[in-house]
Amino acid sequence: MHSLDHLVTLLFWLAVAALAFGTMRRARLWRAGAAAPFNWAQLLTVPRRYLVDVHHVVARDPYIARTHMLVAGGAVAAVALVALNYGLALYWALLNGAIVLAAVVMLGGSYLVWQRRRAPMPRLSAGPWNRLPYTLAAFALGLLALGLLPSALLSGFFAALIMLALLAGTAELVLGIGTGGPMKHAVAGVLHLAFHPRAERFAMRSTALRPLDLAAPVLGVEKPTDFRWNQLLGFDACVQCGKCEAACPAFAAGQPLNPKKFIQDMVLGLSGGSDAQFAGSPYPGIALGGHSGAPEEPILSALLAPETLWSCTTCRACVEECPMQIEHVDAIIDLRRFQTLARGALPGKAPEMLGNLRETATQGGYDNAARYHWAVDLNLRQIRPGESVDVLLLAGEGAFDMRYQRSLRALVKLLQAASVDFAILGALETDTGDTARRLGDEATFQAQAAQLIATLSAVTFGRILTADPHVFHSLKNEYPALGGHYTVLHHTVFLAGLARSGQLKLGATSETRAITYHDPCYLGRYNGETEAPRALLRQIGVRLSEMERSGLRGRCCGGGGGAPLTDIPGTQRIPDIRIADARATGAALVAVACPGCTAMLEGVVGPRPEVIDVAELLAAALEVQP
Amino acid sequence: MNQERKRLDPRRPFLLNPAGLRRIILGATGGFDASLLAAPAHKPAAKPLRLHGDPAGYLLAAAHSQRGMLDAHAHQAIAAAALLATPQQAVAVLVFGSLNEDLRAYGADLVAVLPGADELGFAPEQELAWLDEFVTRYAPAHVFMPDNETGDGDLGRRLAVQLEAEVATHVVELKPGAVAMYWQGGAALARGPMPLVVLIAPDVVETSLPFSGAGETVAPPAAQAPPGPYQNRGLREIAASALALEEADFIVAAGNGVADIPTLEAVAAAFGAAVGASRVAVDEGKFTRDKQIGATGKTVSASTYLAVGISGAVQHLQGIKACRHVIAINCDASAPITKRADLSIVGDAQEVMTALLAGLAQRNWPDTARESV
Amino acid sequence: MMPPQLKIAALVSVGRNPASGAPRAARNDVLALDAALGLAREVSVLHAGDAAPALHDYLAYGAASVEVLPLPPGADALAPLAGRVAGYDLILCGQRAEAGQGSGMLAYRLAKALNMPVVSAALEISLLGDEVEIVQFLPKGQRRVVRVSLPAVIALHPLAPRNPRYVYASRRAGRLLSAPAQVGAPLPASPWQSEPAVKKPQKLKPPETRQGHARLLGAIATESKGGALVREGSAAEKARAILDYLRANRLIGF
Repeated sequence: MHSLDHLVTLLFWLAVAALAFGTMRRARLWRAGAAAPFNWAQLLTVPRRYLVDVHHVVARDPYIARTHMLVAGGAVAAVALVALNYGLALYWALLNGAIVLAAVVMLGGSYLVWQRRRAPMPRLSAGPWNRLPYTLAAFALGLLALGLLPSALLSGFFAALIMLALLAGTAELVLGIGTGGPMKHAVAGVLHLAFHPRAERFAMRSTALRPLDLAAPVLGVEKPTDFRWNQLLGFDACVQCGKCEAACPAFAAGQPLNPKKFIQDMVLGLSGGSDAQFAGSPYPGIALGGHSGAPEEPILSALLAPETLWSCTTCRACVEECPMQIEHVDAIIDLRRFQTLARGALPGKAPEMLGNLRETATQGGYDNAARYHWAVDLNLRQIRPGESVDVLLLAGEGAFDMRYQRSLRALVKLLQAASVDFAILGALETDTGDTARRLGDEATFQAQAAQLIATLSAVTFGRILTADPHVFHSLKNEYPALGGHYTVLHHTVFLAGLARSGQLKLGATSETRAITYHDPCYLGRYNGETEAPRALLRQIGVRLSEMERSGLRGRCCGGGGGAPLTDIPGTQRIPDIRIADARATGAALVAVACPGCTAMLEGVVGPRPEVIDVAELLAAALEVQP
Repeated sequence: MNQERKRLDPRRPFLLNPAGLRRIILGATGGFDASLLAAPAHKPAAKPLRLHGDPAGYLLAAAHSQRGMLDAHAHQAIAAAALLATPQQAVAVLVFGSLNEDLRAYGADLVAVLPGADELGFAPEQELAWLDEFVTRYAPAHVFMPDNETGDGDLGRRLAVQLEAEVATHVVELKPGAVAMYWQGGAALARGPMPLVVLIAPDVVETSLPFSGAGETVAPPAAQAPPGPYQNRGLREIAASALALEEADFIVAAGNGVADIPTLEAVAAAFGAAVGASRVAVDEGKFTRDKQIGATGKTVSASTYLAVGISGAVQHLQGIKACRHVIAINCDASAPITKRADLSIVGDAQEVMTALLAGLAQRNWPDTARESV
Repeated sequence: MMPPQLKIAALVSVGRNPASGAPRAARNDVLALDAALGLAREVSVLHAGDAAPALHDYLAYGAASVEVLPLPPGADALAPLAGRVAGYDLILCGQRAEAGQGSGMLAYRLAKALNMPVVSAALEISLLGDEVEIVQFLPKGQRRVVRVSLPAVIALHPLAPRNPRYVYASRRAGRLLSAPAQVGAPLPASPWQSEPAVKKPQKLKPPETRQGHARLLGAIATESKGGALVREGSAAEKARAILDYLRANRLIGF
């Protein structure tokens, strides 16, 4: 027995106490948040959520996946073994051998961390994160020395050195949660996975916003403590890897939004302090140091500039990329809800649009009777209350846009060619209220939803078909919570089904130009539907040249979340970036499947690829009827 | 006051009739006006007088002048009176402010001018006293005034309230004995008998008449109102460039095809116009965002919209839907804006702007003097 | 610096969305309400007529409550309104209603009934002791500054530079209050007949006296509206074409 072993035992229990104390201290901050369901048994879900869901995201970057496996796996194994051997004062040589193995793994991982941080990509945060390879390596080396060298042989100086290394590493590991250091993410991350505010996402693609109780005393989130406690916990799970920053279209366009900084600002709000110490990229155009927050202080504008809040397109690219499964968009919408419902403080043309919705049930303030003017010569059946039909076609707001009317006419041509039994609501159709909801106007959204649900309940139909992914998402995912349960299909999915069954006979396209496909966020990321439009295009003989960001990781066109209305200036425009993506593939034609994307991408000036809806391409390839 | 002065002006305005004879313009005061000299060339024949003999009754028209001129809207109020008058009714016109033009073409038979109103600014009680006196003097069947925002709409309403008379405002249709106006924000058209006070909307009366008024000058009213609760504190002029685009009446807008912003701004300044821009020009940083016209920018309703180097994307055209006259300068004859424009100039924007500036600098057409105000 | 006892009223009406016809807070009255709230914390917001649901919009725009003065059908709103606001220092309203007749007469009639001065086309209003200073709208970028002594009636111009905010929370918190029924003077039977505005109103024109051939020539000679395209000629000629167009349409004064 050597006194060094006892010292390690002492250190271990001190560390356990520090960790417990720090966690409780941090938990007190989380618990200041609003109530949310809580059950200890949820902790049992962590291994699966970690190994499946987190791994699924992390594995997209094999380097960091390997690194984290080595460093975290090594550390967890080593700490467990230390707990056994030193915590329980066993001091077995065999276990020391195992500790050495784990330490070697961890040291290897630390080397990889060091490698990455030698030339960090701009999305990574510096500051305390830069010391991680050293403190982690110190911990691993300390354990290595502890396990390798018989303690009897150690000189006092060498023992002190080992203790120092262990101390440094342990401090990093256990003090993080209490002091807000980098290793906070280990504790908060595990708890966040267990008590995730959107637990259903681990079972299925879950993107619907949660309905807001319009009678609640606080509408949305004004100050950090208005967030539910598990949202606050989620902010603390952030590892500042910056994958959200790299994916954010608003950040790329130089608009004053950076999802990583946003989450860190929410952390500041819960713990208090100024953003001067933030060691990552600032919001474009907003210098660091000017904002600070506290748990009971309003978040806007002391902690967060309104321009930041209104730059978000709600494209969920950040959420899709976040290895810690943080829900950025939900937090943005919570903040918007307060700004809209309790302050009426919306920028740009957003208030006008909301007024239009309330008064005309259209976003543009149109006469609802004009919604189907484009179809006046198509002999569409207009359903009346009490009648029934198989497929009910909802055109959405795009019906008022002359450009998109071409796409809608193409869709109608396809439906007629496939002899689909379908009808329209005509002048009875009203807006889904989706854009109002993204802008935080839950009151207008719920009123619009109630109106549309009442209209829909007066007619009988099998399925709802729409060409607008926003209508699709809203009806399919968000109306059920308000009592509207429908089978909703996006036109690409519906047409793909018709084509598969042979009901829709498609020939080969005459289009010889290179074609790429732009995934609408509300179809792809929000609903996971990336295959149907591609299958259709393949069927008519299109060889797609995919953009670098496509499918579930597609880049937003800039048209979501009411962003064209709030119109926060940046250094460039999001659709310009997206068209540049398309150009990079050499495509002369961008196939789209959303009226919003069509309008945004067509708004790009100068020579650019042609923008055309999938339905239009299909209609042109329709086999001539005998 | 004006009516005391009975001295003859040797340089009274005159017209040359088709026979080459000088005709002094009755009722007009002030100096020689070159535009009137030029008039005979365009007027092949003098028009007949509408009213013969002594009048048996009166219709009134009243309006404010600006810089010695009545605007088209005021002319329409006079013409309305002339067109609706019976052959025995004379049209008496009261002009608040000085007058340097001939109102006979619009059918004015008696003209009273109050040059003193020019300096008054906002003096509703004094103006109402004058108008009241004039109405009392002629006991007209109807009083026609332009329903505008330059003072007549206000004064007409004050008159109606003062006389406790029936009034029709924003009148869009006039017929003998009947008027029509919009109700329900334009959704309904209401018809009714013509009341005493008729405030007409712009452009509801044709002003090129087949007849002429007598144009006789009469003494203006002389009533003096006691000091009242109103104080005029002067005018504030907003520079055209600073004017909100929604309010501007003349807009010069730049698009992608304009490289030289100072020249464009010089053109705008020469026209006294506000400067707007298309989204592209704004995105390129040539203009601030509040200058952007279009679906995501401002929606404007200028009478004149001069689009320089703007191709006219749908979003832009949405923003100028309400513009009355659209003139486009564009190098591409097939640009969408040419379909919207009332006049399209195909050519290099820079050259045309430079030529416009040169043309505006010369300005050798008749009434240059009036422009100096 | 405003004496706290100043009594301010904002008169509001039920407006009408031009596209859908849906009732709403009249935009112009919202500006009046917003201007009133900018002058005083407590504002009496009054509506003569039915307690229409659209009045809740004014609560959203900041009215703590809207007091509804019930009006029998066919009664004139003037008398109950004048009775209610007698003794007020400042009465604000929109210049022109969106629904109903929209004659823009209310402010004038009310001022006459209360023997107060009236100023319309107000863009900005500021209180200066027992006077109020108004920046008045004039076309073409002109503004006029006018002062009147209190009490006064002021009608807001639709372009008043205000930014009223629609706040759901204050709509939720506010209330409609019904005042006891008052009997307004019944209006005389209206000689006005209203019909849906489908046809364009006819312009008042001199009677056509020309004979067939002359009329035909006249018809041919009418200038074709729009779409003229000038491709040829020097830049100077093109510039001249623009100036000619502007002058022909009297768009420039020179």
